[in-house]
Amino acid sequence: MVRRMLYAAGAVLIGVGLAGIGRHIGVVGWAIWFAGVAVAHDAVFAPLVFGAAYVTRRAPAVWRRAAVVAGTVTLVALPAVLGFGRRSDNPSVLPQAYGRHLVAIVTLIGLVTGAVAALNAYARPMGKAILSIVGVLLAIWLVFMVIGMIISALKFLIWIGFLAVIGAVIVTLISKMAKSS
Amino acid sequence: MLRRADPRRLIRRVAPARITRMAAADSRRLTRRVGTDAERLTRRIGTVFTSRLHDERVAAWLGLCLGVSFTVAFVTGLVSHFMQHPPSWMVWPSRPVGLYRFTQGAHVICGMATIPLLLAKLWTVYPKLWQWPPIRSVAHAARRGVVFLLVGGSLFQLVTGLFNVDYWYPFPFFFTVAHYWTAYVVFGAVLIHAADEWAKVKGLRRPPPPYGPSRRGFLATVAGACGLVAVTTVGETFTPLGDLAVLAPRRPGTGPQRLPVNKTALAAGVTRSTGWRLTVTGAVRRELSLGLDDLRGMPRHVVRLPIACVEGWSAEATWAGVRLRDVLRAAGVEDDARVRVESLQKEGLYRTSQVDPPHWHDPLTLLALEVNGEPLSLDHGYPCRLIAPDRPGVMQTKWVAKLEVS
Repeated sequence: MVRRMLYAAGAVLIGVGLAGIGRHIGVVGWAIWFAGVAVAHDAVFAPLVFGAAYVTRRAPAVWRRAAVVAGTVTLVALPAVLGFGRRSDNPSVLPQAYGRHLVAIVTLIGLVTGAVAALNAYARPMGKAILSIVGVLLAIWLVFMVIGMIISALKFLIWIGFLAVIGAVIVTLISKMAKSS
Repeated sequence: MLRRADPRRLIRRVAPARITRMAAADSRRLTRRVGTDAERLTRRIGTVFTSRLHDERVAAWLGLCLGVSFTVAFVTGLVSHFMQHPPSWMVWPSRPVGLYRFTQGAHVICGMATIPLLLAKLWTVYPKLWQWPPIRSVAHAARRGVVFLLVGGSLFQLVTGLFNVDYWYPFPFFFTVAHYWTAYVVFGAVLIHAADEWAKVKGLRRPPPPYGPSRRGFLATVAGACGLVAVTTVGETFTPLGDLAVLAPRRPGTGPQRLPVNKTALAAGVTRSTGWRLTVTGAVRRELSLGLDDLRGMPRHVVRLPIACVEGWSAEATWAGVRLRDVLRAAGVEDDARVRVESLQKEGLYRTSQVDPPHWHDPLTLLALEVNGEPLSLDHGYPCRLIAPDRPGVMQTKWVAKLEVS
């Protein structure tokens, strides 16, 4: 039942979309791009990825994972790096040095991966020890920070209480003085 | 991750299949040679994908995430479309102030972060492209047709969307129109695909096979890629993370008067005019023609509002000027009047915008004369621009010259 409703809703949406495309867009250009991106992926991009995976089949998993992250981030950043959208009249469009930033990010990924790989490969027991020490330090820091925040909140409350007491004393004194005079 | 393909195992696996295939092919060689060649090639390609990650559960996990992401994109996209082109019965609220900023930021950042996710999903199910026979029945053909709409449409939406936020238009159609109508096709295909594959999603809790590379590692890698894209771009709309937005097409504080510009005066064909006047006409009790000094003589209000662009970036600024409702009340308008704001800009889709009652009644809606403590620069709409809460940036009309009340 639910499945039939989903089928029906899906078919209606597809129909609405195709009708709108027929009415409002040059169908040929649209169809070329629609089929074109699918063909470009299936016939060009995917085989390249499988080829790259085959070539790197002996590489450690951590490096291949790093390559996946770096590769996809590069793809997303590519139009900005190429910068075809830049306009001379509008420097606030694509204002950054995207090529340099991308290189920095990929380098960072490489460094982190290298550190992880080194820990994995050469210093398993020691690496674990180092990591746990770092973890304990972080935890201690966190605990103290939270305690500090609580204390500073308390301090704030104490200050407010202190000020309130002073205020009360002053008010009482003034009222007493007013009475006596 | 691809699992290492052991060549010897591959040969063992392919060889017997090929022998039987060749025997069968012999008998049909004369009539179906082309078909057999295609079959042989297809089956051969199908045997190359040995990674255990071409697995139903991996595909189901990725599909589930894609379903969530595409739903977010579809809903926020419809919000953006109908804010810009409301049917006559539809009226948007002017609050919360940052609603459009949030929905459109989510649309664009989610969309960009979905690119690694979609690529991973297509990688996982890629061997299915080479199934044999390619079509088993009418229902199977229909199903594959829907999958084509889904794959082509998803790639189309993400590629054109990415190009658009990077202001690159190599395609022969108008982006917003194509992106809008294709969204229906894609989401319809998502619904049908989800109905077909729901049983597999239900199987997610089954234990994984005890062999092969780590499924978790693969999914974590994909999540890491999506997260990295989001972290390096989200600062273009979520200002506290502005410093991290190293791959974002915009930076919140970058532009004339510390605010990005979408369309410059040069691109709009607007020059600094002398003798500028704002006219208020239409369904008013008295028509007005106000000079800059008249506006400066009216009560001045300062508001802090974001410009939230359709391309996903947004940036807050401090605006000063007169309330739109003060000007309209001075002209004498009905409470339910709709106002068309017209620009000095001669042509272009966004030279006018419609302001409905909730927005012009809102005390935050200004005809701004200053931004960040200075008179508006020409690129920001000198002498006078509209700025209102919860409204797409393209409808914050610049170089306002006329208010037409209806």
